[in-house]
Amino acid sequence: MTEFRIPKLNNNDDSYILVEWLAADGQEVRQGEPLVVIETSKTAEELESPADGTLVIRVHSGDCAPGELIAAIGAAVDVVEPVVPEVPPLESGEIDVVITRPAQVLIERHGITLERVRALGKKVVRAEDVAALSDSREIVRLPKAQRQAADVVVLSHQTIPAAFTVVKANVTDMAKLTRDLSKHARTLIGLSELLVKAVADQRAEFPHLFSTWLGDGRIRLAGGSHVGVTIDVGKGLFVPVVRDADARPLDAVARELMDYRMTALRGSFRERDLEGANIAVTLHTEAGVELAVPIIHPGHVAALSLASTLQEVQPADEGFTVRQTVRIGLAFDHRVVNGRDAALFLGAVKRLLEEPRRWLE
Amino acid sequence: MRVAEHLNRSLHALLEKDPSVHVLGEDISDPYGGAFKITKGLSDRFGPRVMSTPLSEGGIVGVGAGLALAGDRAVVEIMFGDFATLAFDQLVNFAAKSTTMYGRPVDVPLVVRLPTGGRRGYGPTHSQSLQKHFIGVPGLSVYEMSPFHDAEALFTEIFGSGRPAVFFEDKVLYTKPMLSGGDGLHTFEVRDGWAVIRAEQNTEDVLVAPGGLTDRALTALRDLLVEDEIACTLLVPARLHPLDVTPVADVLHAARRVHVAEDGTAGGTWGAEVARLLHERLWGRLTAPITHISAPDSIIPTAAHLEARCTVQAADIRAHIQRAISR
Amino acid sequence: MIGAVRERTLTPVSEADLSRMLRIRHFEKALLRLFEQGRLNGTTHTCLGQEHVPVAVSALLRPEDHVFSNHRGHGHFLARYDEPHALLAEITGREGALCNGVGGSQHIYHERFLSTGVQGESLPVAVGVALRHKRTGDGIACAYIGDGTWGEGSVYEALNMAQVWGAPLLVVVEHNRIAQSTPTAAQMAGSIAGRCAGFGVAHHRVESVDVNVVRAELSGLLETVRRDKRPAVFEVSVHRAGPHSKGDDTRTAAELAEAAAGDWYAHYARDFPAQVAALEEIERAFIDAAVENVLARPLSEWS
Repeated sequence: MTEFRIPKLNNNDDSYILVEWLAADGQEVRQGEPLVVIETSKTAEELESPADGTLVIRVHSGDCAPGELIAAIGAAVDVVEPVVPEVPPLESGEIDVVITRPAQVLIERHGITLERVRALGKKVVRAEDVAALSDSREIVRLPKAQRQAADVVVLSHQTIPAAFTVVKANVTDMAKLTRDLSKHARTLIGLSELLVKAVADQRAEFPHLFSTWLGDGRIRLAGGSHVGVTIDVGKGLFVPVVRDADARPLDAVARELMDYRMTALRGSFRERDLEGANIAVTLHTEAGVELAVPIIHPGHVAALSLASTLQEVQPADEGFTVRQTVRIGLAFDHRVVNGRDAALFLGAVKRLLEEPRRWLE
Repeated sequence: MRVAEHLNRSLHALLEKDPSVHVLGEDISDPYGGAFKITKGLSDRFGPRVMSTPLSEGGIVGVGAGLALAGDRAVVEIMFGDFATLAFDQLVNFAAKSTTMYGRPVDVPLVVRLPTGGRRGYGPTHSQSLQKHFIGVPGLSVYEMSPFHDAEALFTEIFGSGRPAVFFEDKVLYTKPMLSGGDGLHTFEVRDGWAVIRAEQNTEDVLVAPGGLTDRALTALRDLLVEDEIACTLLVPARLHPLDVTPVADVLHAARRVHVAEDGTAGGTWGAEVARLLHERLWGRLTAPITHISAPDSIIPTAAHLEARCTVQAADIRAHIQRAISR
Repeated sequence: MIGAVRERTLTPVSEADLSRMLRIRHFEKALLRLFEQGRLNGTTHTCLGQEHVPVAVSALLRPEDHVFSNHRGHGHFLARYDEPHALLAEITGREGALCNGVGGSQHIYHERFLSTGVQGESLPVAVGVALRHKRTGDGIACAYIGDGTWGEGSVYEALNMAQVWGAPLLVVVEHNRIAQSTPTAAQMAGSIAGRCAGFGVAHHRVESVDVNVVRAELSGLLETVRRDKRPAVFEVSVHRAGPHSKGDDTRTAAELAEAAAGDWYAHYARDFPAQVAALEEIERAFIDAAVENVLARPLSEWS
């Protein structure tokens, strides 16, 4: 008999959702066979069977916690006592729905019938349930990933005194270069890829922007540039991490970002793809976006934003030329760095984007 | 089945299954069968293994310890838990200490049953809840009867542990029914020595209370939910000390506020010890300090209107929890 | 009061009994010596002058009998179990200790011997043990107490229960006339005999310090406890030749002289000097060697 317990999948959730079993209760399963889908606040993971044997499911679906016993896998003769939740006995004449006093007041005020209250399918009917009945507008519970995002941004706003600086970069020449680079590297190298690499390469000069605030006037410096990059292909917002982006060549960084985009389309990120960033680049390259203010992830000091490329008419010697510009924003924890550092950092990034020759050196 | 009858049947079963079990106490023999009738039928059925004793609380606890030491198992009934003070030396300095003070484990399978608590108008010396005086005595376990827990299983567990135990029994609880399954609103689940009573999973409020408070806690829970729309889970441990909260860690970890209720008088109480233990484990998860609900620092008067003032009522539990939430 | 010593006040004692009494005596003297040298931790209560009582009693006990002892219990233990090394290791917290050094001088549990440090506490326990003996065979519980212990209510609760329930319990009272520093007359009204009579419990008192006489007088009484399953109190008049514990004797010179004169040893050494001299050397050397052996051991361990 082998116990099958939920492993700890990440550090930020204390519960997950058991989405579905991939094998049936009582079915013979093999070690290593995918058994069950568990959804964390960030992603869904398949867990594999730890042993050969008969699957005896304890938790069929719903909330589950790290360490919780969800199934047992054992020899066929090894019958596990099923966990049968005790059903409360309903005595005859006892009402099947408990209506709270505030709910009762609303029911009477709005003249709601008992049938409609029963149709809610709730054991305990509260005032908010009745209010929903008297209000036809729909109430929607956000998906778990969005609820988690909500917690993160609230924490960011509550704990990080952020300041913001923006620069405009002329990327006219860069637009031409990216086509050549892409051809040469046989993968897409665009402004996003260049920005990720350009940011990562600043760690030696601007280590504080990659650090973690520890409180009490202390920070912990990073051991590598681990850049989180926002990817949203319509299946939810993910922030996969390009690890050690300062130590790897541009084409390797680009290829990894491409892989992440493909993964995002399949919707199958692993926890390890999403953990360990110390700075973030948020992409807002949808046409027409001029400027975006990013959220600093709790534990980071800085977040950059890349807006869309804009055409700009500029007076030239004989008339006008058209140039292409982007705005790069930097939100930073003002406890750790000041406006001057932010400006210098952005200036260094801007130069890298404006002078494509540097990439060829 | 009423709790008293369940307890009586448990003692019958215990004596029947194990010929080494002895039951001692004042006025416990038939036809009287004990002041609260918990021992009814035992002496008729098991003869000399059930002994009515002189009025010597210290002495009979010592005799029980002697039987236990020599290889028997003993259940000693103190007619009113208040009189446990007369047996304090035997419990603390002999039965409990002997399990370790001889440098090696010595088994003392002894249960001292203590009918406890007020709300019956018996007055200052027959109504107390003295649990707190037995908390933290090396070698001594403290149990409390509840309508959820099987008493025979608890007695067997105590005997198996080799440690002596005081077993508090709320006197009002004797007349209440044993509880299982649920009450239509709450489900009752018993797991590893804890009863978990709740209307829904993972409530933000959790109330920890010994078995004696069950009826009042259940009333408070029902009122909180139906009147105030506050869902609260009740946790009832069978063993008050040492307290192992591991089996209910999931319930506690989901909590944002924890409340502890007890019948003992304020000051140096079991509830304070529970709060200390839970503050350590739950610090950072809770959004408020742990609420403590106990009887006031007072003797328990006899007259009903005065007694009610000095014992924990369902309304007190509800009011404390309401206050904690609105803070 | 014991007057001038007459010729041959005591009867000749067997070599085994005398050896044991002298062994206990030298064990206690060694403890007092170790205290003076600062080599013992805590406190101890020696039984100098009372060694003959447990030696008289133990010979009448059977292996299945339980013995309950008190704070002044080294003699009770050594008379029953000839294991001075293990007892000394217990008192000094060394390897081979009876209870790993946890209990020390006055909390010993070894086979069927148990002592505790609270006056009178073990008597109800002994009743419980005696009740089991009554049910399962012919064993008895034997509990040693002093005259001072009669101030404790537990003594009366125990005597009452033992008599009501017919528990084979022998209570041996070592009446040494003083409770720590308080003379018995200042802390006990009436008499032990009178108190026993109140409960209908058999009582017998012996004045002699002759181990043979004490044993002979106990023999019949103990048999009735064993055979008839009922309690009895056996009171032996003794003199505490040493202090209560150590260096805390507040008795006057005259009182001390009286106590010394009542010491069995004083009488017997005068009556049988050659026998005492011969055995005493052996026992003294034996205990000295035991002290050396035990104190060289590693400290005891407790898990």
